Amino acid sequence: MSSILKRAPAAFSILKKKFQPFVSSLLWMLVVVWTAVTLTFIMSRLIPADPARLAAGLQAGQEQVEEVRKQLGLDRPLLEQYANYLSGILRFDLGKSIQTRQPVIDDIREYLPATLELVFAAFFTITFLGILLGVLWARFPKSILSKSLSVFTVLGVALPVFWIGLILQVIFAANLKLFPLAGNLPYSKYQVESITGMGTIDSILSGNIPAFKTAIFALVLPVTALVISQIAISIRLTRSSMASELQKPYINAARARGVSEWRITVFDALRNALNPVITMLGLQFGWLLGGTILVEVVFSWPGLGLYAFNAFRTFDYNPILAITLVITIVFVVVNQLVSMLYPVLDPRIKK
Amino acid sequence: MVDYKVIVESLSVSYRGNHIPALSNVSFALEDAECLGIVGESGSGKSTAALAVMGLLGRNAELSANSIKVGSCDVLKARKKALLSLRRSFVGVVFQDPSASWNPSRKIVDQLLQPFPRKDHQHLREKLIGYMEQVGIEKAQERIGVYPHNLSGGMLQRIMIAGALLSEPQLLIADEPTSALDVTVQADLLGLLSHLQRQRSLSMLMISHNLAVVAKISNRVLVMYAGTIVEAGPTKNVLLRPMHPYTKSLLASVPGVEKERKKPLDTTVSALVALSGCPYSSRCVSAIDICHTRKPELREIQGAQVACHRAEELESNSVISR
Amino acid sequence: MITRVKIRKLVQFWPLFALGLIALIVLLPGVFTTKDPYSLDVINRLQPPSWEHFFGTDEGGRDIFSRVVYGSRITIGSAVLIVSISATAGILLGAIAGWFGGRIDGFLMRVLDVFLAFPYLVLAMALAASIGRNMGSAILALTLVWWPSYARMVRGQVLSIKNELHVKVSKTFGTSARQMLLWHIIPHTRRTIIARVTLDIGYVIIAITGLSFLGLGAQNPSPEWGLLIANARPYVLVGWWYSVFPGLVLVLIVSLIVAVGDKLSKETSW
Repeated sequence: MSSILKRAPAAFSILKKKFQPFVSSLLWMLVVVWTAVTLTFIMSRLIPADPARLAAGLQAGQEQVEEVRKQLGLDRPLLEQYANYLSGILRFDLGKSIQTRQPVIDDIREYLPATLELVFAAFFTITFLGILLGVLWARFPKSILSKSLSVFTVLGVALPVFWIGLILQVIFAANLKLFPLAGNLPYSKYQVESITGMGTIDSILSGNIPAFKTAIFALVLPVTALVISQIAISIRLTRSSMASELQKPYINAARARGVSEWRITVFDALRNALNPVITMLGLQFGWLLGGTILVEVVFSWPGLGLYAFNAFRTFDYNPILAITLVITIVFVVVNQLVSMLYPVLDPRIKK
Repeated sequence: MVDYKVIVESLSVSYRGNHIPALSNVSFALEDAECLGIVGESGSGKSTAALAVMGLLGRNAELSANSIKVGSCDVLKARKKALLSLRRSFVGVVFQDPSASWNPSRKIVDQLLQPFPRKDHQHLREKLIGYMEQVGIEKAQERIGVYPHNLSGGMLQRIMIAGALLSEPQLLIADEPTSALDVTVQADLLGLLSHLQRQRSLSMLMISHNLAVVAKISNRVLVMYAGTIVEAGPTKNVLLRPMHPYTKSLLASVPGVEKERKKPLDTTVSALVALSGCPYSSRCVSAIDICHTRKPELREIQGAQVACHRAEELESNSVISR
Repeated sequence: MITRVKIRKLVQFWPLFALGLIALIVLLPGVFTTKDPYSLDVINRLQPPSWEHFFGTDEGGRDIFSRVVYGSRITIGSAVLIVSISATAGILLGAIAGWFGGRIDGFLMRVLDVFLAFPYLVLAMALAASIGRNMGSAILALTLVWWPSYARMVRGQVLSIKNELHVKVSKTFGTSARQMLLWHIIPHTRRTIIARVTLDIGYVIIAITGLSFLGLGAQNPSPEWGLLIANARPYVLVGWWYSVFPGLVLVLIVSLIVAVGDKLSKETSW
């Protein structure tokens, strides 16, 4: 018994050591999120317009405005409002939207999947296509593909996603009529049940193939716009990283052993070349979130971006703040995940 | 009939962006079970020659030759598959810098077994452990599954040698295998290479900038300067009776011996290469007019080959004192 | 005498010419167009391109070409402003963090990580909702998001130089440390920073036009490029020139700036 007690403190410190990194990053994430929350709260109280009046409507009389003010708890001292706000968040109560007259949390649940559909489709395409093209460019630098890529990547960075979206819309939807002009899958028209909220997945789950086809077609233009705006960076970075990796002595050593060129490219060079690319992808995810808002506006895609945009135009500040919060959280989590990937790729980095 | 493992005829290589060619019209041959040493300072083209033999020159190298034959394979004309199988079964290569010649994110064993089909991996693994023990690595079983950064330079080189032997090659190319190592480790490694060469009757190309290293292990020596062979012959001949002024100064540049030189030996070759005539003429103590205008050809003198206009005359004069 | 060699030597300096041209457009728009970008002429609304109106007219009959030219001042001008402020702030903060190290450095790095890729759009929206929709809040939002990359870059440089200087400094002057910082670090990183600044101006132009497109930045009747394209949206089927030309100019100018920035980052001799 006493021997266990003697060993306990040692064991405890070992546990502490192992969990330390996790705990500290978790704590840090909380700090960041809390800061975002507080900042949004401060900003929400900075608005020049009177929120009570906005909620009551511009026609409302003074008494009604005061009623609304009481209802919304806006007459309370600031600190109390802050405490309520914080507790509300923990209860997932993000207030009501003036526009939709619904709790914001419900709005978010409704609009989030469509945005996720766009973001995931775009992100995966950018990642895989970007890396693939970058590798091909590094491997076959004199090919036609490489020459056209070098032109494209210079222009690619300069293409604003909203303009490209607009142009794509005009050419391929309005004129050539190949893709729908706006929106995602019209659920009711195809009688598809909304399970996840994502057109593509729901139509598969319902076994409705024509609906699936429509959903995919609806995705094409917005995703293309997003991809075009971001992929140039990935391609260029992959290529330069691969090119410098392929120069390294160990590559020649593998060649000397008689390993085939494609094997070397994929299993040796790529693995080491991906490090900076992954870092950049983490950054690009953030940029992609911003681009998604623009794309949703152009294509009237019913996602969070469009929701935020409408809320913003009508000074509906609850949704705006809620979205800021949600995006901050998503963003922080994704970044954490990315930084956890490094030791996996490079065994030299100690965890 | 002499069996040649490597025949190189009129090999010229230049790298894009350099107006001085890395190799000009070099020809040599390696006999069966012979160890040929190639000596020269950096920039002399020795590594280029060895790599060219295997078709391992980079993308920005322009290569032209009458023929390059390794075993029965014509490297210049060979198809990809033939070249790969040549590298897998006929030739083994040991590279210079152990810290850079391994993929840092893959285990040693994975890298060595990579060229072989999956089904052979099991028994090749055991074979590799056996070889590793032969080259003097203890606890080979454990060491095989680690990452390169866990091992010392000397150990990595030994493993590279073991790996090179894995396919039972008939030819071993060692490109400055000891240059990146400590002196004591160098000696060990050289002894190992020498032993292996004799034991297995390997044909070997030994490249080094260090004449002592080459002398210890080679039967014959090629001395290179600025992309050309300036002297060639049996090791004893070249060492004891050097004929080319450059060879003489190489031998004389052993530390502790004061020699009269036109220019110090450690400036880079490209800065001083004469563009016409003998490439060594700008540094040669014994250069005369013809040396600056006409390029000397390799000719046979007293059992060795020299590319120098004044070889015989300098030989008879014995100008250089030891 | 214009010889081939002279032309080749001049062509080497193309980045300077490109930047000069852009500066000219921004500073002296009158050189390029004589029309007033704000004057309405409703009778001539939505006219296709012609000799009279190179880019056609918009829904108010205004000449789109001159609006693009004058709009450059706002778009490019605010981009330059944003990058200047964030570069200055970032460099200072990065230098301080790198030099003093310890907790200040640790704290800054964490803050940095948060800001580094934060979707500026979201921040801009929140800011605009609080302070109001105008160029000011857009500029503020973008400045807040852009400074971290400079801080990180400079901090890295400071850290590496600090180790070199450390020995010398600890031996000789103590107070001159700050001066050494200025004299050693700034010249050393000057090239990287200038290249980075150039590239960023290009990227910020894209960002700010995006914000204006959504209505978070410039407001009507400003001829800011993003706003132009937003205004063009309803007329996209009847007046293709309205959305195409401003966009093309935008793409071209940004490509040019980014190409110059690329070239600067590879250049080692200046």
